[in-house]
Amino acid sequence: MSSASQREVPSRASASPAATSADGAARGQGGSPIQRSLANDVVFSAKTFAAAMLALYLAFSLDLPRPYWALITAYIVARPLSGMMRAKAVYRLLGTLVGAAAAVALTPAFIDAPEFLTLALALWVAVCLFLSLQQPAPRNYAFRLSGYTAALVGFPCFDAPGAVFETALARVEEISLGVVCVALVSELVLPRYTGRYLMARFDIWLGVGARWACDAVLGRESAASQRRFVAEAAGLAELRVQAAYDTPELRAAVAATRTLHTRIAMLAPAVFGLADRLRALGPGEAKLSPVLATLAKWLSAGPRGAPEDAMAIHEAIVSARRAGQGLDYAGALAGIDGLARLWRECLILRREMRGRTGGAARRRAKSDPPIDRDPAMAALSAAALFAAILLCAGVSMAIGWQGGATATMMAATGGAVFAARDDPAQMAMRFSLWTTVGALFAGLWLVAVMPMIDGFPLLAASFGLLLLPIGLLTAKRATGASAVAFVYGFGGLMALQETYVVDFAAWANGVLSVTVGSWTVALVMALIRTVSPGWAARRLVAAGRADLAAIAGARWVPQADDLAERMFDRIVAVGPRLAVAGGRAGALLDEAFADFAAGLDLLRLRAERARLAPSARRAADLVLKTLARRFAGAPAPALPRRVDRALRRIAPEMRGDGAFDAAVALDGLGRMARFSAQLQQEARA
Amino acid sequence: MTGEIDVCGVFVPGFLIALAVALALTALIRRALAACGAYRLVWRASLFDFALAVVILGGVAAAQGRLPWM
Repeated sequence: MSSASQREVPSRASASPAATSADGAARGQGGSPIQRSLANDVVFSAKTFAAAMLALYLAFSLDLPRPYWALITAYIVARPLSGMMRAKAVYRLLGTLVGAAAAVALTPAFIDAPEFLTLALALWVAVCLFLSLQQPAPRNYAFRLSGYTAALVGFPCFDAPGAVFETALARVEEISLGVVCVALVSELVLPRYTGRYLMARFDIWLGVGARWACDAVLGRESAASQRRFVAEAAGLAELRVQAAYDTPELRAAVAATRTLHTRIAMLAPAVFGLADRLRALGPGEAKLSPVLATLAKWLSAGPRGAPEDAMAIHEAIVSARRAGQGLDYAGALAGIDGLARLWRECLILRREMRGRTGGAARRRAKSDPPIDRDPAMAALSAAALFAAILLCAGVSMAIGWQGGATATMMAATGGAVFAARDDPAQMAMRFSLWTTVGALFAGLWLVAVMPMIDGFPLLAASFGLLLLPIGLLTAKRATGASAVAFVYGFGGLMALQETYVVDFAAWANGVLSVTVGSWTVALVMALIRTVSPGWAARRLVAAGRADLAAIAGARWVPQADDLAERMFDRIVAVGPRLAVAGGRAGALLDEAFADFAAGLDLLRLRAERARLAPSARRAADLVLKTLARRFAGAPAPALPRRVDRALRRIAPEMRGDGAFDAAVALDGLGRMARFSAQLQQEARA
Repeated sequence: MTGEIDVCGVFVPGFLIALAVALALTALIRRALAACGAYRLVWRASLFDFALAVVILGGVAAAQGRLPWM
């Protein structure tokens, strides 16, 4: 992970970044520059299979009761990149330990009352799910897992509560075995680290951002590049979080990546606000064109541009400042200045990260990124899961069904895994489908293949026929979940046959219970929890407004970086949902951007208001109060008038820096409010 | 490595103790090496760490039972 791998960073991203890399990003799956080549997938599949077979072999030779759990775990934990795998592995171990301990603690307490035990376990799973939804990824996995591990251990032990400790122990042993085997194989054989991918992704994102800024500065149509900017951010955020679990050197650089991430995110409001100002100024403003041309030239160099070129822009701005007058003109220049400063910072941070000096960036190490917690939705998800478990367990208890425990386990697992999605029901159905397919193959193996097998090498070879091709699918985002579901079904149903005796009844019961469990959770989720992507997007935008209302009302004074991260996280979450929703999609994204820009202006105005003269300050406070009402959802027809009055009050003291910044912020707020109002009006019409 | 050791009434195999000791030792040595910057000379950190852990475990297990205090 030292200089060698830095040289390996795909040079495609740098050839002509502003144009080529952005195009490449749009074409590639998920905007990835990294050739998801077949060779990589084959290596990954072979590694996963080797780890799974190692785990299975050890489980057999240690005489563990459920060797196939180790195999399934290997496929669940395996990830192509080292950082992802480490995160998954550590949190899987932790979650399994906690969940198994919970099952062991709960079961004896309700030994004579299976109804209460069911209730207690369901409650535990639901509470864990709720907590997991309040945690950032990948840590949330531990919470979710400790929930349904308790279900996996607890429910099968209803008939024999005395066995709960053995079951819990077996589960922990086999999961640990699987995790350790995957970790060993994945780290020792051809490891792939996150670092180079992260740097390549940053370069692409910077290129896309530069392209968008260029489009906006030159007055070109920029909606497409704006959307690409958001799409590119989503994958990068995930990669960046996982980098925190990668090699120690990279872990040390994570603070720097976070700073760079926030800087690039802040390009969004800068570009968006500047585009609006330039539009208002009209194309006839010839006095600005030398500045804009210099800026565009610098930006079009993309991430390979030199931060030192900022001087030329600065000189051009200084000379342009003398040429024109009026707040619109000065505001546009301030916007250009802000964008240039931001871009310079981005370039410097990028260079520092490549050189691993990380001076300024490293000093700004911070704790976890703030995530958008939505307690109401989390509670709803948890309630839905609770209901699904009770339904499943209640019905199977009432009819005295043997496979009821497996069905309940499936309901708990599926519900917990898919609860964070907008469409958990659909995911659960797909999971059920592929689990069933896996179970069918397990049946085929048990009937046709196993009788011919007389040792582990032959068993491994026969599994290889099936699992090596499946492993190719686990590397891909689109098919990964289905492939893991397949292995889950396959391994789970093989596990029922501890002796190599074909037992059709047990097999059929297993398939039936998996299907019933998945369908129950799908049904309950469809009834309670499924939301449309458009609705989810609107909810995110509304949550952003609530933040802005809090800032305007002085109830919350965040750091600009924190606010930017929070607002941009929401935009990134809104983006893909709008792509699905269609219709008024672009408009809602624009509204989110306008809110983002308004948020930063609000902070600026709040910071400068103390330095204003009393009459101007009162006028500014009135604007803030009106904005607080507006962001809280109330109509505020007086807003433009009040903004104008505040601007008039500030005008006499415009020489001072504070007053000028306040005026620009006020002007920006007025613009963004007008912009949003117009979008909303169009939506209504 | 033969025999069991009584930890608060629970008999654990001696090898487990050796494993725990080796793990702690490895962590310490790793820290020290990282502080010296020795990892710059290492090709694959994970492979190096794993090998280091195995070597130390071997050493601890071999020493166990031979030294009077172990």
